[in-house]
Amino acid sequence: MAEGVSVKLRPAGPLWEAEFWPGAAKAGAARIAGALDGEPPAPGASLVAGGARLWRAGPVRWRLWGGEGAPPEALAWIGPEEGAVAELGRGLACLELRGPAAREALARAVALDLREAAFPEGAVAAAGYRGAAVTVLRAEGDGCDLLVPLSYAESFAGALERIALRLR
Amino acid sequence: MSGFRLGGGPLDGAEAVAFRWRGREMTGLRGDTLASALMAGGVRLVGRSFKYHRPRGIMSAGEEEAGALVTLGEGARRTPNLKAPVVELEPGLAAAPQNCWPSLEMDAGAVNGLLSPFFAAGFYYKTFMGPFGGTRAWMFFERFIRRAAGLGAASEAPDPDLYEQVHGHCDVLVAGSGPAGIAAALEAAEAGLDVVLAEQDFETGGDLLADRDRSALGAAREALAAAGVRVMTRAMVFGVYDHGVAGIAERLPAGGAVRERLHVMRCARIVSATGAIERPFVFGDNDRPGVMGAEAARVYVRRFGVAPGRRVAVATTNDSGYAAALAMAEAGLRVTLLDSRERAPEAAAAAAAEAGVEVMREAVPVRALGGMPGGAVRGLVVGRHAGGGRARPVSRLDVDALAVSGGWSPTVHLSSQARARPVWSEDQLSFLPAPGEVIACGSAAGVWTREGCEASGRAAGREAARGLKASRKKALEAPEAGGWEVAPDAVWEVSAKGRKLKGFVDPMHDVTAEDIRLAHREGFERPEHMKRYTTLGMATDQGKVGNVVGLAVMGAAQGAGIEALGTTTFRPPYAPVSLGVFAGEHAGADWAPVRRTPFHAMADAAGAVFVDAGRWKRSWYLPRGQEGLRAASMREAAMVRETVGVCDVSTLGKFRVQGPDAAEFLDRVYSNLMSSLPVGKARYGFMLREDGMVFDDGTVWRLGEADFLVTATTGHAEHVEAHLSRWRVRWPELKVAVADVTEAWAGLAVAGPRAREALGRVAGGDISDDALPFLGVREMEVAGVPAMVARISFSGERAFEVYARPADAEALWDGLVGAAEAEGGGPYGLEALDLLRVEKGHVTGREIDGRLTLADLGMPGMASRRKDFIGKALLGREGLADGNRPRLVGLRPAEAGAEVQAGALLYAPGEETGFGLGHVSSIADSPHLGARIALGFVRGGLERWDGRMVMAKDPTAGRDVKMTVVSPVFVDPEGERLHG
Repeated sequence: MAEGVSVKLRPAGPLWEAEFWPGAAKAGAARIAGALDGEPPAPGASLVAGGARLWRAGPVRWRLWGGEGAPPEALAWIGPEEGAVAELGRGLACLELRGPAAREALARAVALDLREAAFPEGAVAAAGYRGAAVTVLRAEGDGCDLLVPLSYAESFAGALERIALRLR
Repeated sequence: MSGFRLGGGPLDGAEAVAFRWRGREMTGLRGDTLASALMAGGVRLVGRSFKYHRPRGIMSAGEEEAGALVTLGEGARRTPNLKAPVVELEPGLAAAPQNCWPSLEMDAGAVNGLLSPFFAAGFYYKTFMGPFGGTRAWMFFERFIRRAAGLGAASEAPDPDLYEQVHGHCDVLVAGSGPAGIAAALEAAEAGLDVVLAEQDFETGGDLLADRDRSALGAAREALAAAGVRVMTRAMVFGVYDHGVAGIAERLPAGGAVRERLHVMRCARIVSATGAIERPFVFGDNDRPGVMGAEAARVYVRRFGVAPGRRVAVATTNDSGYAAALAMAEAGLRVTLLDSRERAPEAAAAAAAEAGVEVMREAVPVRALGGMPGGAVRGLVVGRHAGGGRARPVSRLDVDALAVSGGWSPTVHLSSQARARPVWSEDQLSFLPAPGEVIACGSAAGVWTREGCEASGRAAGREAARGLKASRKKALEAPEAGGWEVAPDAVWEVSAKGRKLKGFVDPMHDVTAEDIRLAHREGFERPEHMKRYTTLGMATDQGKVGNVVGLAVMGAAQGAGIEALGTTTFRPPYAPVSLGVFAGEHAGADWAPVRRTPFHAMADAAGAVFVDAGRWKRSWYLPRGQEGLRAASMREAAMVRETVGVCDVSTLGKFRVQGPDAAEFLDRVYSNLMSSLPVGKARYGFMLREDGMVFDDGTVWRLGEADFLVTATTGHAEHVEAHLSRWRVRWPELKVAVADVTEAWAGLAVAGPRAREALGRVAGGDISDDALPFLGVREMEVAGVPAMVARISFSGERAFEVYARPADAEALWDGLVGAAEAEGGGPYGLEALDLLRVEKGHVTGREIDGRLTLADLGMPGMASRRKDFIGKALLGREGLADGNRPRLVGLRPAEAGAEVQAGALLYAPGEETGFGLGHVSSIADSPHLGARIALGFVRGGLERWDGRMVMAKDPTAGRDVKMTVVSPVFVDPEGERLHG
C-alpha cells in the first residue's frame, strides 16, 4: 500500500434493499437487526454482524450488504404484506480506499463531512459523485468504501487513483 | 539603503530570488511580492491604463491594486491582469507589463489621452449612433475598439496545469488572519470548536506583518497552533453562498502537482475579519506612478523593507496617515505630511514630528507633477484646504512619491454577499457591515485601533461559539466602530478655483470625477446605473478603490449624501479567481465520467467504435475492414433484416416495482392499462407529464402478481427514476416499492428472421411461439447463465431481449453472438439500431421531445379511458385536441439522395417563412428500401399532407430540399415480420 492512500476496485457482492410499507418499518427493522443479533442502527450508522452490514437508506428502507442466501435469512421472512426486497448488489461495485489519507482523497470526490466526529467508524452516508448516486461507508481505521454504480466503476476508480497518486 | 531596499528590514538576510521583468533578470528576496521586489529594484512604471494608456505604477499593497496589473508566465501558462502586490515572488517568475506597444515607456496607445474628450463615459453608447445609417458606424469601428480595449491577453493554449477541488467542513471559518481574525479564531477554538483560519496572503498576520517588533506575531502563530486552529495561507475566501458554504481559492507554491485548489467549505459560522481598504481621493493627476496608498507605503517600508521613494509626501484626511509618515521617517526617508484637517491627533503628530516629519495642517495635494518618460511623480502642488475639498494652491513640494489616505472602507464584501446590506456611517465616512449571517469584526467592522480589533475579534469568536452552543460564557461586548482621535475629514475631491484638474476616481478603469458628473447630467444617477455607464468599480476591482469616492462625487452632483444613494451589491468573487479551479481536475478527456456497459470489453474486442450517448459509451458500429460508419451501419441493418443481429441494450433504464399495489401504481403512472397485464407478459406503455405531454415510453413486464420490471429509454432513465420515486412518495396509501435495477441487469437484443434459431442454439428453455409468444416473458438459462427473456422488438423483426446479471455478461455475449454468427448474423451497433427503428416509424427521444401528445405521435389510443393517470386531466385541454397540431409523418426526399438533416424546418411550398409546418426529427439511409427516409412532424399530419410535397429548409446548412409526406412506417406496415 502506498503511504497515503490506495484504491482497489472490486465487485460489491450481494446487497439487498428491503422496503417496508408504512407502519411496518419499525418492527421490520428490529426483526432484520435481531436476525443479526443487534439493534437497528441510527440513521447514518450501521450494524456490522454476521459477515453483513445493515444500515438505513431511507425512512422505510434498509440495506443489507453481505450475508448468505438469496435473499439472506435476515430478509427472507419479508412478504408482500410487510414490504418488498430487491437485490441491488449486482449493479454495484466497491471502491476500497485505504490508508491514512483515504478521507483526504475522498474529500476531493464527495461533499460529505468526513471529520472523525461526523463520520466515525461504521458511519454510512449517501452522496453524489460526478452526477452518480454513491454510498460511502467508513471502514476500519482510516479506510472508506464507496459503493458506486457498476457502469461508472472503472471511470471513478481511475479518477480516485489519480487523486491518490497526488497524495502519496 | 541600497537602491530602494532599506537596511535593517525584516527581509534582511533572506534568500535571494531571481525573477524576470520585461525579460530582464532581476533579484528579489524570499518573502517579497512582485510589487515589493520591483520597487526595491527601482521600477516605478509598471503598466498602462485601461482606456487612456496613462502610465501607472504600484498603488497599493493588496487586492485593491488598480495600477500594477501585470501578465505573469509565458506560453500556455500566461495569465493576465494579476495584481503585482499580491503575487508572491517565486524563483523563475516571469512578469511583463500589459496594454502597451511598442514599449512601456513609449506607448502608441497613449495618444488616447489626447483624445480623452471623445472617450468620456458612455461613448460606446452614443458616439457611433446615427444620424446616418443607424449603428453602421459602430459596426465598422467595433473591431478596432475591441482590439484596443481590455487589459492583457489570456493564453489561447490549453492550460497545462492541474486544479483540484476539495470539500471541507468546519465549525467556524475565519476569513483573514490579522489581529481580529486571530483573536476570533482563538476564542472559537478555545470553546472546543473546529476552526479554519483562511488567509489570502502567503503569511498570516495581516497588520501584524507591518509591526516593527514581530514578537506579537510570533506569539499569535504559536497560540493558533496550540489551539488546533487549521490555518490556510494563500487561501482567499472569495465568496459566501447559501447555507454557510464559502468558496476558498488556494494558490499553491510553484512547482507542485497542483496549481490552485478550490475549497468548498461548509461552515456552521463564518467570521469576516477581512480588514479594510484604504481609499484615495481625487486631485489632479492622482494616478501618476509614485502615487500610492499611505498604508501601502507603511507596509512596503515595514514588512518588505522597501522605500516607496526618497522624498515622500503623505496626504491624509484621517489619523492613519500619521502612522505611515512615522514609519517612513523612522526608516530614514524625508517625509512631509499634509493633513486636510485643522486639528491633528496630538500624540501621533508629536511622534511624527519627533521622527522628523514635517507636518502641514489644512493642506491637501492639488496636483501631482511628473516628468517624461514614464510620468512618475517629480513634485506636488500643495493647496491650502478651505474645507470640502476646496483648495488654494500655495506651494510646491519636491517629492518623488506621494502616499495618500482618503479614509478607509471596511471590506464588507463577504457580509454583503450574505445579503446584509452595508450601512453608511457618516461618523466613520464608510459603509459598515450590517448584522447578519456573517459575523464581521475588526476593521472589517469599522474598528480602527489594534486593541479594538482584538476585542472585536474575541467578541466575534465568542458570538460564533455561543451560537453553536459550544460556550456558555457571557457574550462579549464588541467595540463600536471607530477609534480615531480626531474625526476624519470628508474630502473626496480637491478642487482649485481656476484650475482644470484631471483626477481619477477609479484608476483601474480610467474613470474620472468628470465622468461621474457626466453620468449624472445624462440621468444615470443611481449607483447601479452609474457603475454600468462609467465602468466604475467593475471587473477585477469590484468597487474596492473608487466605489465610495464615486458615490460621493455623484452625491455632490445631486446635492444628496452617500447615505441616500446607498451602494451596489457586492457579489462573489471578492477578487478574480482562476476559471481552472471551477473546472477542477475534470478537464480534457476526463471532463465527464464515462459509463460502460457490462458488454463494453467484448464489443471493444469485436472492433466496435463507440459513441457518447449521454455519459454512456455505446457500441456505435462494428466495422469490417475499412468500413466507415455509413457502410458498417447499413450492412448491420441489412443483416438484421436478412438474418439476425445482436445489440447491447443494457443502457435502458430498469426498475423493479413490487408490492400488492404495484399494478395500481403502474396504472396511475402509465397512460395505458397495466393492471390487466397477465403474469409472464410484457406491454408497451407511455408515461405522461402532469401537463399531458409524453414523458417517456418503455415496456412493463409482469414477473409475478405483485412484481413488475419496468424499462425506460436510455436518455430518460434517470428522470423516470425520479418520476417514479416522487409519485411513490405522493401516494403513501399504496403498498409499493420501486428499486432502480438499471445496473443490475445486462441486456442483449436478438433481432431478425433467424432470431429464434439463434437464441434457440443457446436457450435452456422453450422459445417457440406457443411458449414465448409476442410480448411473452420467461425466465430460463441462456448460454448457461440465468436470464430473463422477453419477446420484444424495436426493429420490427422477430426479436428477443435477453437480460442476465452483469457478472454473466461475457458468457451471454459469447453465447448469443456466437449463435447469431452461426445463423449468418452478428453484432450490430447503435447506428444500425437507429436505421431499423426509423424504417419502422418507432419513436425515440428525438421524437419524444416534451412537446408532443400521444395523438401527435399517432397513438391516441394509448390514453386509457377506463382509468385515471398522470397527465389525463390536462391532456383534455382543447388546444391539444386541435387536429392542426404537428403530427408524426414519414418523409422522403423528392430527389433520391438529397442531403437533409434532422432539425430542418418544414414549410408548405411557397410559404417558406415563420415557424412553418413542423420539422424533421430523424433521418436514415434505409438499406432495406435503398433510399433516404425521415421521420418528422407536420401540422395536420398524414390526414392533410399524405402524398403532398413540403419544403425542408435547413438555414444552418443552407439547404432546401423538397420532401414528400408519407406514412411513418416504411417497412412491413402489417407487422408480418414481427411474428415471423
